[in-house]
Formats: sequence, C-alpha cells, structure tokens
Amino acid sequence: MLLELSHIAKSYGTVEVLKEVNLQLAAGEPIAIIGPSGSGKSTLLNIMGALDVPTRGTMSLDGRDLSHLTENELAGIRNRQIGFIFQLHHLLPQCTVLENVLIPTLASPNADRQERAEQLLDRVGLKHRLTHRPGQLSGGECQRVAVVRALINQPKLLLADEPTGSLDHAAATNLGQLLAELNKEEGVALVLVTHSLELARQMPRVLELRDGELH
Amino acid sequence: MTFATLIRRSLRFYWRTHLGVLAGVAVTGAILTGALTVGDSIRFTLKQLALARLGQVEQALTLPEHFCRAKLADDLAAELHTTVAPVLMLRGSATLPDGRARANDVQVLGVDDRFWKLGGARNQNIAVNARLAEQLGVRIGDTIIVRVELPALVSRDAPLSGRSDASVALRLQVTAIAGDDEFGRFSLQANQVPPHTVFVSLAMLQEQLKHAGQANTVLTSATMDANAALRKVWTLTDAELVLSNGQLSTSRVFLDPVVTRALGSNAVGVLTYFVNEFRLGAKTTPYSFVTAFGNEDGIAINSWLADDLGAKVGDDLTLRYYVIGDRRELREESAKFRVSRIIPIQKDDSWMPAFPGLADAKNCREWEPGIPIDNDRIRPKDEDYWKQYRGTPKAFVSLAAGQKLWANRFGNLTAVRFQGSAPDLRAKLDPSALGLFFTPVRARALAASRDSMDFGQLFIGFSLFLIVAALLLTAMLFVFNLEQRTAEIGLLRALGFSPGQVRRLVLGEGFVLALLGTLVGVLGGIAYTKLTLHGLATVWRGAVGAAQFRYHAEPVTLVTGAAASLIVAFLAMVFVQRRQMRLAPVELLAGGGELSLPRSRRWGLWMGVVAGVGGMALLSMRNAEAFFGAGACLLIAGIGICQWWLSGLAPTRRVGLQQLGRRNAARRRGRSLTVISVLASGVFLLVAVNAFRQDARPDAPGTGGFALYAQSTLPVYDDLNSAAGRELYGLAAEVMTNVAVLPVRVREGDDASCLNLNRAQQPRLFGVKPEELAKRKAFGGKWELLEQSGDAVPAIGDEQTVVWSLGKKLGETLAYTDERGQTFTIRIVEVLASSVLQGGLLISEKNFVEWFPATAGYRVFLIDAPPARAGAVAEELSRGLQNRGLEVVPAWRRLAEFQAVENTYLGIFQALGGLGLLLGSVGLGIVVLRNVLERRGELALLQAVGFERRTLRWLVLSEHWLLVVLGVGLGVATALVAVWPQHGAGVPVATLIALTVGGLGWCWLAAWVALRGPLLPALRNE
Repeated sequence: MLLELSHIAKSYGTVEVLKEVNLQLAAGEPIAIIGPSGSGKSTLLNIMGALDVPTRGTMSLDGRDLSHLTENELAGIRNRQIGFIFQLHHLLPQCTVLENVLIPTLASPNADRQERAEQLLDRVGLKHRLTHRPGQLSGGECQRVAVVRALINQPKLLLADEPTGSLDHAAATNLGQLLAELNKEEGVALVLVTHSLELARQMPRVLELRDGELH
Repeated sequence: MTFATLIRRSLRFYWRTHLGVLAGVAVTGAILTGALTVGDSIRFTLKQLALARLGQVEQALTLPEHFCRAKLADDLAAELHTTVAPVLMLRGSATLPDGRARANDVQVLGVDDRFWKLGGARNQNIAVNARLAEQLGVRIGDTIIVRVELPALVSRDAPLSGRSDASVALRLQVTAIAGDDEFGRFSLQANQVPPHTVFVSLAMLQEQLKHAGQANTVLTSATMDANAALRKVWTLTDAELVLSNGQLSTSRVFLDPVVTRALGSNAVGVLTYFVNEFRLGAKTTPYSFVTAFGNEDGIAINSWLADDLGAKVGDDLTLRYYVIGDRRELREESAKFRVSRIIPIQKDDSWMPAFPGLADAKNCREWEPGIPIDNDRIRPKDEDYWKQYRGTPKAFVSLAAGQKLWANRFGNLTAVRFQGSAPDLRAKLDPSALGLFFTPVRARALAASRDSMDFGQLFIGFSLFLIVAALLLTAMLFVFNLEQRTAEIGLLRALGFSPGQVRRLVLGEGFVLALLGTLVGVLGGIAYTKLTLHGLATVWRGAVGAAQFRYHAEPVTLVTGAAASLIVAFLAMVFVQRRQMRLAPVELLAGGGELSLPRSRRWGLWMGVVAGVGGMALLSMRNAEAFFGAGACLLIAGIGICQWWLSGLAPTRRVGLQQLGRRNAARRRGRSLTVISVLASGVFLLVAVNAFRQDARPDAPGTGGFALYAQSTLPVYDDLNSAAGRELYGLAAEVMTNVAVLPVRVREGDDASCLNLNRAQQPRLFGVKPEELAKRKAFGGKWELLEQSGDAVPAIGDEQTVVWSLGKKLGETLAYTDERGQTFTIRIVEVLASSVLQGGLLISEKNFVEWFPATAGYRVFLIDAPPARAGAVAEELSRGLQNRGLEVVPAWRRLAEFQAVENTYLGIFQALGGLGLLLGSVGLGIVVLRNVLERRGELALLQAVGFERRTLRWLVLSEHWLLVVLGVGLGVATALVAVWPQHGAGVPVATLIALTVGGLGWCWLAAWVALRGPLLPALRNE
C-alpha cells in the first residue's frame, strides 16, 4: 500500500474533528473524499500530506511510518513524495509560470527539472505562458500551473484540496478531467477532497467523511 | 531557478514594501556612520589645530619662573643641527590706549626669526594674533598697550624679593595680524581655542624687561631627545648659578636645596639675611646684613657695629628681622645672641646675595627690599657704611642658628664656599633637577587630540534612541512584509522546504535589504555628519567653544559604521522572523491568523515586577550610569505591565465602541507594544533630560557659597583680607567690609574643563588651604582629605574635570611633572559635583609650594561678599587690581558658563531624541494604517450592519489613542521616578501636549486615509 491511515483521530481542544479514520490507498489509485463543510476533510488531507499531525493513530507512506519523523524529514517527504494542490493556487506573484513550477525543486536541487517542467506545462496547454506572471493568467490557468508544480518532483501521492473551489464551472470541469488524466499518465495516487459531487464522480472510488469517520 | 533568483524576484516584486525597511536601515546606517565620523572630524580638526599651534615645534623647555641664556638656543642648535628658538614668554594684559577694549591673560612672546621659522611664517615684527585682534578690534597700524610683570629673579613669595607689583607697560604699534596659518595659534597648552597673543621682537622685550640676553622658553624642531644635547651644552648661568672666587651663589638669592645636596663635602654653606635692627639696651643699629656661617658660638660682630652699639664680648644682642608668612604676611621676629668676639671691619660684600632692591642700590634711600623700610631710622653713618662697605655683614652667627631663623621653602643657603678648588659643578648637577628640561610638547599635543573626548561615542550615545527607534521601525516593517507574505511562506513549507531553507530565503532577502539600506545609510551619514558639524558651529557652539570643525572620515570608520548598521539591522530581522517561522505550514497557508504574542500574560507581569525592582535598586545608587540603567529598567517594567494589561483585555459581556477599541489594541500586541515602547522611550528621554538641565542660581552649591570668582593675569602676592593688602591696591574699606577673599594658587596647565575638547595631559593645579574651605563647608567637600600624607599628593576635582576631562575615577592617580622635571603622583581623593573650580585639580597649598616652590602668588580668588554689595565689591576689586589683570565675575555666572555647555549637550541629546520620537510617531501612523488596511473587511462588515463611517473612524481612533496615551504616560511616569528629586527645567508640558496631539493626529490621518473610498468591496473580497 502506498498510504495507510490507521485509527487516525484529531482534536482541537475539546472539539474532536476526526474520530477514527482508516484508509488504505494503493499506488496510482485515485479517490475522492466528500463531506459537508466542517466535516474535517481538509484536516484529514493535511494529515495525509504531513502538514499536520494526528492526535492519535498512525500513518505510513510508502511503508514508512511518519509519526516519529523530524520536521526536516517530513519536509523532505512532502517535497519528494507528495504533491499538493490547494483551493487557492498560491502561485508566487513575483515569479514566472516556469519559475513557479520549479519552486519545489529548490528544496532538493539534485535533478534538473526544467525540461520536465516545460513538458508538463505543454501537457496542460500552457507552453505559451512560460514567462508570464500569475497576474497575467486566468484562474483556471493558475490552477493548472499549480497542478504542474505539484507534479514536478514526480510525487507518488497527489493531494488536491477543493482544487476547483475558486473556479467557474467550465474551468472546474476541465481541471477535473486533467487531474484524472494526469493520474493515469503519471501513475500518481490521487486524493481529491471536494464537496462537488460532479468532480468526485470522476474518481473511481468516492469516500464520505461523516462524523469523523470515512464511509 | 535558484535561491538567488527567487530572492531577486521577490526584492523586485515587493520593492514598495521593501522601501520602508530599506529606509529604516538607511536611517540606522546614517546615524551610526554619521556619529562615528563626527568623532573622526573632531579628532582630525583637533589634530590639525594642535599642529597649527605648534608648527614644527617638537620639544620645549619652559622656565615659567626663571631665565636661561638666549644663547643656549645657539648651543643647542649646533648640537641638534636643527632650528632652536629662544623665546621670552610672559603673561600680561592688552588694552587699547583709550581703554575701550581690554584682553586679560594675554600671552606675550618675545621672538626672533627662528621662532617664525618654526611656524613656517615670515617674521611679523610686532603682531597680534587674530583672536586678540578681534577682541581688541585692532587693525594693522593701530596702537595697543601691553602690560607685563617685570620678571623676577627671586620668587615674589620669597623674603626680601623686592617690589611685588613691578610691571611694565609696552606701547606697541601693530605691524601684522598673525592668522592661523601664520603661527597665530602658537600655544604650548592643548586647547581648541587659541590664547590671546602678542608677538614682539625678542631683543626689544629683553631690553624693556632689563633681561638682556635671556629667555625663559626654548623651542626646537628636533625629533631626537633634546635633553641629551642640553646636558652637553648647559652652563651654570642657565640655572642662574654664579661661581665666583670659590663661592657658588645664585641670582635667585636662595640656593635650591637640590644644588646644595649635590655638592661635595668641601662645600661650606652660607646664609646671609637682612635684619631690621641690632639692639643692645636702648641702642640700635638699623637695617644690616648678618651672615650665618660655620660654627660661631654666639655672635661675632664687626668693630663698626661694636662701636655703634657700644657692645663688648659677653653682651646680649637682640636681632629683629622679618620673616615672611603665607600671602607675604610679614612677621617681625627677634632672636638673642651673646657677643662671642669682635672682629675688625673689612669690606667683603661677597657675603651678600643679590637681594633685589638692595644689591644695586647706590644709597640706602634706594633700598626696595620688599619689606617696609623706615627711612627716618637710617642715619648718615648708616649711609656711610653702605657707601664704604656695601653689604658687608656686620655680624656672623653659626650656620645652624641662622638656618633655624631664616631658612624658608626657597632654600636655607644663599651661597656655598668651597674649601680648596671648586668641583666640576656641571658634572655634579643634573640640569633637569634645576628645571632645565625639554618636554615632548608635540607628542603630548597629539595625545591630547587623539585622546580627546570621543564625540563619535558621544553622538552614538545621543543618537541611541534614534537608532533604536529606526531599528524598531525597520523590524516592524520587515514583520509587516513577512505577514503580508505569510501564505507564501506556508506554501514553501508545504512544498517541502525545511524551516531552515525558508529562513535562508527570508533572511537572504532581508540581508540584501540591510546591505542596500546600509549603503544608502553611509551616504546619509555624510549628510548627518555635516549637519551635526554645522550644528556644532552654530546652534550647539556652546558645547565646543569657538572651534570650526572640518569634515573628515577615516575609511575604517565608514566600514565600522556600515558593518555595525548591517549587523544590527540584520539581527533585528533575524529576531523578528522567528515567530513567523514557528507557525505550522497549515496556519501559514491560512494567512497566519492573528500573529500575536503567546497567550500567557504572566510573563509581562513578572518582567514588570523584576525590572521595576531592579530599576528602583539602581536608582538608589544615584549616579549617571545607574540612572540610565534604572531608566531602562523602569521602562521595561512599564512595558511589561502594559503587555500584561493588554493581554488581560478578555471579551466581556459589555460591548461598546470603547471596549471594542481596547480589545482591538490588544489583538496585535506586538505592534501595540512596539508603538508604546518607542513613544515611552522618547518621552522618557525628553522629560528626564529636561530634568537635568541646570540653571545656575546665586545659591547653587557649585558656587561653594562664594558670591564672586576672580582670576588675575598677574599673580597677586599680598593678602587682600589684610589692611595692608587692601591699602596696597587702594581698595575702599567701606566697600570691602565683611568681604573675605580666599586666594588660590595656580599652576598653569591644560584646561580640564568642559570648554576644552582635548584630553588634558597636565591639568591646571589649584593650591588651596583645606582648613579654610572646610570651615566654610564649601562645595560640600571633605577638604581634610587633602591633608592626608602618603605616596601620592591627594587631590579633589569636580566631576566634569575628573571623570570627563581627565577620564579618571575616584582613587585613580595621574603622573604630574613638577618644576624640577620630577614626576610625582596625584591621587583623586574626592569627586565634587560641578563647581566654579572646574578645569583643574585642587591640592593643599602645603603640597603645592612643596612641588612648585617658585610659583609665586595667587591668581584665583573666591570672594565671599554680602549679596547686596557683591556688584560693588566686584567693581572695586576690578578697579584696584586692574594692573594685575583681575577679572571678577559672579560665581553663579561662571557656573552658568559651564552649565551652558552641559545644557547644550543635553539640547543635542533632546534634539536627536526628538527625531527619534518623530520616527516613533511615523511608526504609529504606519501601525494605524496597517491595522486598518488589514481589517478593511471587518470594518466593511461593521458598515454593512449599520455603523456610520464617522463611527468607524472613532472606533479606529479609540483603539489607537490608547497607545499614544499609554506611551506618553509611561514615559512621563518613569522619567519622573528616575530623576526624582531632581526637577531641573521641569516637565516640558507644552512639548508633551504637542506630542500627544501630534500622535492622535497621525492616528486620525491614518484612519482617514484607510477608511476613505468604498469599504463594501472589501467585504466581497473576503
């Protein structure tokens, strides 16, 4: 299994957001997690992405238990094995499209990713936008740049947190399709958190987070 | 894509927000480098002034009380192969013929071509320097009257030293005005202000003063040790010694004990004295010489005296004679001797020393020995004796008996007779022990300028608050910058950047900003220095006298200032980014939430209590360092308590605009505390410094309780409290009733007051009678300490002199050179508060005359006079002692002159502090603007639910006026506690009101700017 969540719980003070979450995700497997607002979808995604730590339970990624890793080791895992797509694209306004895509490579600059960045951008239809700044792109284009940025280091797990939340319907549909295609092309496992049933249905497996548990 | 590319992109993209940070660093850099280069400029100028006043002079031999041959200069030049100039250096006063303008304490120099050569100028004949020309308002061709004291061979304090007030007036036509580049600044004393100087021809001055062929100063450009050459070429004449017919005598009358100690066993001492009368029963013989010599048992009289008195062997003769006490107080004493033998009369006036006023007198009527002579007592036979036998002694007593009666501080022998051949005296005597020695005046001058008051440090101290304000502003703007980019930082963390990598990116950007800001700051530093130097030449000239300073910057200083600026600015950034880096990536991605100080409110309270206790403990020490420490502690305590209070503003059930405003102020406590800290520190500085401003009053302790302070150009030898002394100077008895004059001996030296920027090397010394000051409890000093005996001479000085001008502390010592070139140690035994005696160290008169026996008379006078008549007394003394160049000023006014300097420094401190406050208020404006802009959505919501724009403005004001009030209140309160019970010029209420109103104005302006335009779109953006 690529990702295994076992008895994951998360509380903020007296508020218990996640009670008992168990999940197994195979390599290259795409899933969608849906749930009402405030159900803990983003919290769960943050735990999966090693951005947050559970109050209880264990999580392993690619067979490695993440519970006892240091901050720097977790950063390394986020950089090499996980790709993030957020509701807001979070592109750096000071950098060009290509530079934004290459930002993750700065954290572990062993490989030359420039060619891959250009290929991926070409793949998502942004080859003509390489030197443009985020301010010169549409919302959908920005989000596609964010998708390429998430894939630049060839992660094993792609986490998307409401990626279409700030897009119009057409752009959201396009992005959904793109994610599904890239999942197959790149062989990357995909966890898509959304409250859009339309988007979720594009994934072969849909789980619902309810009462702090996955159903 | 590299880290550097990302940093470059960020710098360019966020240039607007970076400008604020850059400006803050630039201000810090400008102040640091500027302040240091102020120090450079002042040191450089002082060095230039030192070189200008000395020309090529390297070493100087000075004999303030004696004379050497002018030809000694020629002999030395032959040895040293360089220029050696003989100079007659005297002190005098200069006036215009009509008396319209006057200058006291004028340096009168008799010089020749060699002197001008040392100064790199042409011979100016009769010249005055520019300062004197300005004082008198004279131009070339004008006539001036210069009055100098006729130099005495014998100390005026010595018995039988002749007329005490002999002076000569020189009428001179000015042929040149010597500017700074024409050696017009010549002086052997380190001071940035040149003396008033008159230059006349050496030959003319020698002739006028009847000292042909003599000089009392020798200057040389030799860099090698001139003392070695001096030892080769000096003669007995240079030490005023005369060896004639197997007898060594001196034109100073009394042989210095140093001389007599160095002589061999074949030397027999002679002491000849002038007695008022011999008496045998009713018969008297007036005014005669008696010689003490050998081991005469009783008194041997010559046949002339025996006949005159009808004396025979076995009769008891009474000798009456004057001895001289303090302040030339004459006491007639007597001694009885039994006639042991009668010797035949034989003319031999070699026994008689060269008593001034006696030795050259043709007849008895011309006698002017410096003691009262009753001419009526002189009989024709006495005149005949003088004509026939001159100073042949009429009687001889044993040397031991004579020394018991007439030995004094100048010596106990008037001659030495050698049995057999005289020894090689030049070989036996050390010229330096006789006062003949060169001092390295150039090295001392350079040391005085090098070790001068460090204006660099001083201005850094003065600007410290400004620097702190600029740094706080820098740090705050840097944090704003980071807060604006919180999500970016969160993204980088989410993308797998380690905290260290993100920190490197953030600080890399900060470092470039700090570097750029510093470079701009260095340029700004030049402007700061030039402005400060301009200030010192104009509005702050009170701090530095009349000196004009030139801009000068050492490369190392610029590098030091730049490095310091870079480091402190960067450290401020390192310090403030820590909190941002501690947040989790999720929090950062969400915008960081409310970045506030930790929830715990106790640390503020604890910090307040600990710092408050520390501050109060420091206050109890009551000194300057402790004051600053206490001030800082009290401020920290106040800020801690503010933190505690702000963090305790928990939500309550009551919701009103006031409560909402206060809670908003507590939301961004870091910002709020920064604003409070800057305002409080600035206000503290304003109020505390104001309390130290001093306005001298007649009852100020620094006057020592004396109404008047007087200083004379020429020494006054007589007691101005005695009827005789007052009569001598024609002082009206009715004016001088109930007036007491306390005379002070003065050994000229470097002015160690706040008026001299150079580090005094050999400060002026004052000789006082400790018991007189102790009796008056003057200046609050423990005067009995001056009478302590030990390995060092105890000295008392005021704080300015000891601490600031000499750089010494209580108990520390300094080496001092006496008249004979011997080094002795002075120990500071007490430090007084600022007083009229600033500029010198006080030692007991007993020690003074021991180390400086030849320095005669008194030149400073502390005068106790009834307040109502102080003006009349000052006028009377000035009139009576005009020829001594006496200047009388109210003691409080002299104190005020010193205090004006201190007040000027405080003014500089306040002005720079004010600039800091200005920066602080800019910070306040930025905080208000920032707070409001960040919360436009929130404010839009309030507008959406029905709040009017005017109400919102009041809401913003109400949360920020609290910061202004807390800052100002905290500053005032801590300052008043720190300086209590000092009040000085009081609390600057108007300034504080202006400051508060200004602060509120900033708040209003910022609120107005932030709240103009439609707010509701901000709500949609949410």
